[in-house]
Amino acid sequence: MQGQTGAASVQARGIRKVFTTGSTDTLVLDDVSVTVDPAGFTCLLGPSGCGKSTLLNMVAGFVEPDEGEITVDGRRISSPGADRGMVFQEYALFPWLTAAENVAFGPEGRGLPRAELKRVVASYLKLVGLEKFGDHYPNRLSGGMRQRVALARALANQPRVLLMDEPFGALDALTRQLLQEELLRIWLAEKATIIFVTHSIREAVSLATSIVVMTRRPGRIKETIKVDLPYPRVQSSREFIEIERHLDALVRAEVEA
Amino acid sequence: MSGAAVRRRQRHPAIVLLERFLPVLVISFALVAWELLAILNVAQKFVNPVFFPGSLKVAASAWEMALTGELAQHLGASLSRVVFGFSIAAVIGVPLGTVAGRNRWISGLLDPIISVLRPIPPIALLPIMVVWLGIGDTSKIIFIAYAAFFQIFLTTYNGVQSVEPLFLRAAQTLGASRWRIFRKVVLPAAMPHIVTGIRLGFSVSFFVIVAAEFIGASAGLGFLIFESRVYFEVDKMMVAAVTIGALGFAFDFTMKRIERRLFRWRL
Repeated sequence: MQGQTGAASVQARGIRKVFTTGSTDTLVLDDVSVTVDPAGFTCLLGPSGCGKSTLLNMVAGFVEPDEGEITVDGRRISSPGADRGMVFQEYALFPWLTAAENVAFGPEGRGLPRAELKRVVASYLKLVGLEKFGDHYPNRLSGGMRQRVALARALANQPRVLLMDEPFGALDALTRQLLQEELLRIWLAEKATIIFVTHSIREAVSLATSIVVMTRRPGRIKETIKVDLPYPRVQSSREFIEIERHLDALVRAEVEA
Repeated sequence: MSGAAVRRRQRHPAIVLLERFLPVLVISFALVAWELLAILNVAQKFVNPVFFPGSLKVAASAWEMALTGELAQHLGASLSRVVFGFSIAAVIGVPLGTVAGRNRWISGLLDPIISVLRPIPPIALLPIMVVWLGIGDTSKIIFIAYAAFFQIFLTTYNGVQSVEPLFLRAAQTLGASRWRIFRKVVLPAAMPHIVTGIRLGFSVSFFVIVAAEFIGASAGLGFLIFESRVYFEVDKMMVAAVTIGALGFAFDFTMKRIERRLFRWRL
């Protein structure tokens, strides 16, 4: 899986997905095509139930599309893999491992020598500001700290794409803001490709280079917006507010439809 | 561990002391009441006093049996059967439960068999085992193994099946192989269940050993109870019963301690 390094491009082409529960079929995604640029920060934005998480799970390899295909650097995805790291809303840290052991999980599996492993773990814990909390079990950490560990764990495995499923959704407003800033700092330093699912317009405008707005069920691509404001973005600036208003109108039309 | 210490509400030291020694107090009170009732019985003859020894008499018998080595002999016989039978159950139950919990084919094969056998009280099968395996130690050990197996197997099986799917997904995105996921995610996640299964399996072993020793044994706590019945030695019967209780309690207590140690991450 390693071999190639650096940020990957991701493409979804003509994705269609039907979920069947009992005798009812629900069309979740219909003819969805998205192109994610290498080293870009792409947000999938839409109301709940628009299939944005399903699309992300397809990129991760957990869900297979009924039609269409997803490729990473031109290679078709069929199963989960280390090239696509994921950060879950519920953190998904292994509670029986300490923060450091969680971060070590990926690289250890690749058979990294012990000394090297220790160095990698220390550097990624430091990257997320938790160098002093390596021997803590997750249940001793706050929500924000847990999500930092989860981010370090994903990054330590050096994925070519980082998938984030509403990662800050369970956090309070202040922690959320801090983690957004930290994520930006890390993204700019590591030059990773990020696909980030959110239903928060402000979060999308604060972070993304590209915002993909999806329609409510069945999920289709409504509009793709490029944001080239410099970082850190000022939420009270005219440009920020303009984009926010535009997105607000798009999403509102979907919720009220 | 750092983090803010949880401050406890201040309570009166006398209440704290009382709470701490409450179990001891309750048991002492029960023993005294028992002795008083026995004394009253001697005077009033509700039942033949021979059938109702007081707590002091039972304690005296226990002391005497301990000195003569009688207690150790029976205890040793029961314990060795339990350890044997329980070990067989654990050695088969844990791996089988683990594999069945991960593999739909194996669980599909085992499920109907277990569903049919489980509602049958193991005791009902004891005479059959005696017919098949004779009245010696073999039938008793296999009987214990059989009874404990279900407890261990089912608890392990449920534990492995109830592993949070999110953990499996997280491990997959970290590039873990199937074997690594099994070893590093499924097993540790299910371990608390497995250890609970082992603890319950051991309890079950103690439950059924008594019945097994009622049939064709020459030593063991169950034998002691059954044999003493013939001579109306109710005090010895009680000594045997209390010994079994004490042993079960000690094991449970130790295992719970170990569990708390092992699974600190849960606290």
